[in-house]
Amino acid sequence: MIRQHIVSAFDKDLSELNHLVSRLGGLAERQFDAAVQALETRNTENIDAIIAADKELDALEFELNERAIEVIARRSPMAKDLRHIIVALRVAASLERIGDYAKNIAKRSRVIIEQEVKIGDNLSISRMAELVQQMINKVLDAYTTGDAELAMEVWESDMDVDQLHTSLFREILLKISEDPAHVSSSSQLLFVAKNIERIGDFATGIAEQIYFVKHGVMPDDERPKADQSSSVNVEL
Amino acid sequence: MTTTPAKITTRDVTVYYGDAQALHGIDMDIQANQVTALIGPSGCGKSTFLRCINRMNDVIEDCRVGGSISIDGQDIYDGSIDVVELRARVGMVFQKPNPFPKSIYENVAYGPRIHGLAENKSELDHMVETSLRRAGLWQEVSDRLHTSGSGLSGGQQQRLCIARTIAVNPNVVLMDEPCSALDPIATAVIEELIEELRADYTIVIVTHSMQQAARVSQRTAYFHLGNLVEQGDTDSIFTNPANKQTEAYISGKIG
Repeated sequence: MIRQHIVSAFDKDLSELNHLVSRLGGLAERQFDAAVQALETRNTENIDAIIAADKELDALEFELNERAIEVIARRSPMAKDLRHIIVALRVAASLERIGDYAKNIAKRSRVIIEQEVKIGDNLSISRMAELVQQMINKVLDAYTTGDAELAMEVWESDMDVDQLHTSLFREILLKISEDPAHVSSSSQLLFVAKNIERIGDFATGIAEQIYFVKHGVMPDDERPKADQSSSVNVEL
Repeated sequence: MTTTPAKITTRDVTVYYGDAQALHGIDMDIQANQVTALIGPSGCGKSTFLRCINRMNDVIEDCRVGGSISIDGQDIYDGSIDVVELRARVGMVFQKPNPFPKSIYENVAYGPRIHGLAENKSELDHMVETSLRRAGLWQEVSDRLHTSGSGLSGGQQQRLCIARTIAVNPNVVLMDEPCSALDPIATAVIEELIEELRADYTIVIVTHSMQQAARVSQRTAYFHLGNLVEQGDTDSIFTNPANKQTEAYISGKIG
């Protein structure tokens, strides 16, 4: 721990907060990976464990909130320290939401797996999931090292996720129209795709926060948006 | 940002105590009806700068002030300036409450009397009451105006000093760590008062409390080793200062 403050206990407080965010990030990442793996390998074995583990994230986020409030009350942080703490709170909230979406992916995957649907081998969903996994991994690294440039790489890759989501959305709608027997599991897959896309949005939001800690302003450019799934209309 | 001309303009202000230079060319524009906080470590020159604004440094032997300071466009170091009159226009409140060893009434009446502001007793009474009201002290002392000012609590004494300052109709009030000897409640009362007073006065406050500067001021200036390092809107100074030295100081970091 590099000593930055005259009151060294303040450094310790901040590094403890960072540590909590890292732990929360690790858990969220693990949950998402496990949910995606269950779907890809058609294996329902871990799903109950994934659902149960979500409570760990909730508890950890709560612990982080309490610590952050204590630090604010005791240290009256200013400038970058203040941004740092506020952002730790926001990032924790985003990670907790990522955990929620991972849990939801696991739940929906069970329906999909149990129906044993062959959904085009889920090729594009795997690609999208992999991309989002990379985003989470990178953005957590960027958070730990305070690397705003790395964070901006994550920010930019959200467009690819949006594009993949739009095409996947089309793909699944077509599948439903061709094979109405599997409409319920295909619908579940639509939600899984949406959840993954949302997780990508949270990773992007975390990237913006990392930039904000460093620079004190939000990233300049309007983030390119490429998710057109909300206006997709497939003729049945 | 406001485009109205500054109430107080300082250009290239330097101060020497003998051979030692205490201020290195301070340029500031201080706006009317705003609270400007001067912050910085001990010895950074912020109090020295404050004392230039009502020529309190004149009384210090060996002290030389250079550059220019004008209030409402008038150079206050010009030879034609009546310094006593200047100090009525630019009042000052100090770190330690320093009421005169007189009654509450006399503490406030003293200024208007020596400046000949009141025509008669009832006018003087009125001035005393108005000043005590504006200083938020009237309700607490109206039944004991003729008891000694030094019998008041520290916070009340400080408000008495503020009443004494504003009794002579200043338009600028300088405050040099006005709350450093006060408890948090008395401090909050003074801070509330500062917010009310800025409707009528231009206030410049020196404080060692970052939180106080953040709470009471609209503009903040950071001094270090006799230099004005950074000045700006208080909101941005305490959330996103431009200068690394400012950031280190306000965050308690090793500089």
